[in-house]
Amino acid sequence: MREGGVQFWIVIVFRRSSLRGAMKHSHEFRDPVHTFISVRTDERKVIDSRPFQRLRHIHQLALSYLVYPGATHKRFEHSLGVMDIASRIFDIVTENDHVHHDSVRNIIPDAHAKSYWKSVLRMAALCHDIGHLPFSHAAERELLPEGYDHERLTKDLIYSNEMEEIWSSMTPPLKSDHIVKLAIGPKKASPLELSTWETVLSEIIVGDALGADRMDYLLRDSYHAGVSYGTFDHHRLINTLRILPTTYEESDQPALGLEAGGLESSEGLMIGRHFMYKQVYLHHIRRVYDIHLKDFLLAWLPTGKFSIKLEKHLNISDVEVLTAIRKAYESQTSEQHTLACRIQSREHFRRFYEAAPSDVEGGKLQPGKAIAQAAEKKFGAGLIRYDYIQPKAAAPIFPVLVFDGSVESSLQRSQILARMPEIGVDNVYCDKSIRLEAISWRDENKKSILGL
Amino acid sequence: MPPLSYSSRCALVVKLAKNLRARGSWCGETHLQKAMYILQDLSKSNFGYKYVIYKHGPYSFELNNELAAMRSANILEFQFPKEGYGPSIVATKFGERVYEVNEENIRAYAPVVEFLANWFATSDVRHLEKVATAYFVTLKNPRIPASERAKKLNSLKPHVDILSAEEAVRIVDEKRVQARDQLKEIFA
Repeated sequence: MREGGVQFWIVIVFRRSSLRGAMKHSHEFRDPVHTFISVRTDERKVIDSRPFQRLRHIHQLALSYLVYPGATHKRFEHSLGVMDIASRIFDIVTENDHVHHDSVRNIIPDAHAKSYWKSVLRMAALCHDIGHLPFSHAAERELLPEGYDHERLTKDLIYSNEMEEIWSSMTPPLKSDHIVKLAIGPKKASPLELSTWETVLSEIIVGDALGADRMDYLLRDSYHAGVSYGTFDHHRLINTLRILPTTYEESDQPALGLEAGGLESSEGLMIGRHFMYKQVYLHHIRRVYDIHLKDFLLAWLPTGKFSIKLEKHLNISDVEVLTAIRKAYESQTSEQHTLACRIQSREHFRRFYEAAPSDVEGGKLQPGKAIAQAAEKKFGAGLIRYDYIQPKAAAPIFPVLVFDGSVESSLQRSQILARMPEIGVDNVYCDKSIRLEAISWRDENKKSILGL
Repeated sequence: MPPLSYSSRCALVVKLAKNLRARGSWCGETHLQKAMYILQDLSKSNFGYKYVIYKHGPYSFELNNELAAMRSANILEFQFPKEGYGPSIVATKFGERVYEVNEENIRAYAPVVEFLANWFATSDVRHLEKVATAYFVTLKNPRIPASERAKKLNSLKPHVDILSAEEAVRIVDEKRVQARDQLKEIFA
């Protein structure tokens, strides 16, 4: 009896130990921002796929590491972070206790469908950046054929045979149309049309105001660049997110919003974003490196464009481009030698004009453009570069659930959000060798050029 | 119609905002978004504003960005006329100047701006959402009967019930006939 008991116990241990090996359903990544990020075994197939692994070699902030040496992180870990945050937001906003309005209750699916959509959301969040060119955003418009951008490549990759096989092998199988809609949002998914539910889910990932993409990149870029501006109370923000009707616009359309108690953390996010744009993303030297990189790529790529064939896209990352820059730098006879030196030995152009708000008073709404055109005539086009980014909406409008159960506009509830300034870029650069001359010329001619 | 420069597009937005407000409209972003959508169609113009179904129906992210740029350039500003509601968009003094400088370039659009200002002046967002989405569905499916278009509207915006959707489609059909009669000489 006693011996039999021992034997039985050993068998149990053996079985449990073998089950533990065979049935491990979840895996963890260590992450400097979120500590641990968990994925299921079938989700790991997506992470192990070629399109996703390529993100290990795409810098999140392009050449920003030439200004902020720590900013060498990649799209790979950012994408994991977006999946993790999006997943947490989904759980919070679909919790029964957090749904207060019929118009919202009507769009949330039943428990079975909810679990399907959570999987779609996680995979869309994971794949939202897989179409990025080497060095992320730099000069996409000039370096891709007409009608293409990284979202289009993301879409093509999600629909590729390699990924379709993975989607259909998941439990439950996922529809690639659904993943596309959520990963790239309504603007880029067209002609696919998003239902209200899909629109809310895409907002959870790529929404301008409260999206997981924005939350993760602010926290992560801030951490790696070594600037603390991008941090905010994201735990509080995530816990207070809700799906709410936009009754402040006399509409019942549900949208992603938050409880009034989370307003300060959303203000923190927007202020963090403002400073990160000013200090990091739109830093004038970082921007001119983007221009030099674009010049190099236009000269180096066989047709001056990246290929839109998926196999070729998967075979080119920052590694290949950095190798090419290095080779061109080392070879005095290379046609791209001078362009490579601008990056490799920091011979970048210098800013000599930055548009001031009062510079538009002469009626020229893009004053930098007028200065750049005049400077090109004076010094020659090869010595001048112009950089413009149209200011983007900074004041985020979303619904806020007030203590009495009513829903108000975020811009009414928060003076900080209502007054967030838009940030753009309107700079003119010149070759280092003519900088002083260009500044004197600017001082003499600015008023007449701008009609001030 | 020939393409408009950025400053002329700014002037057109200022004119639209002024005309809407002159007729008592709230004139928030939704008003400008939906009016510009129909303006592009009626004037057979392409200002580069691509429309997709998003906030309250057809919505252009490009126009949203340009409105932000216009606020940044002090051409437009937010005002908050009523507690708890979203902002109205108002032209600044500098915006008025941009309009005056470019008035000639956008003169051809005046009748269609008038038409839209009269149509949308007293519309709230709920109404704008219905009719603009009905307009979108109609442009995408010009040959299908009104009842089918109403069903499509209802499937895109489930909070717009089928009766309201049918009414919205009817209004759009009437307005398109009206516009064809009133504006045919200008945009022939």
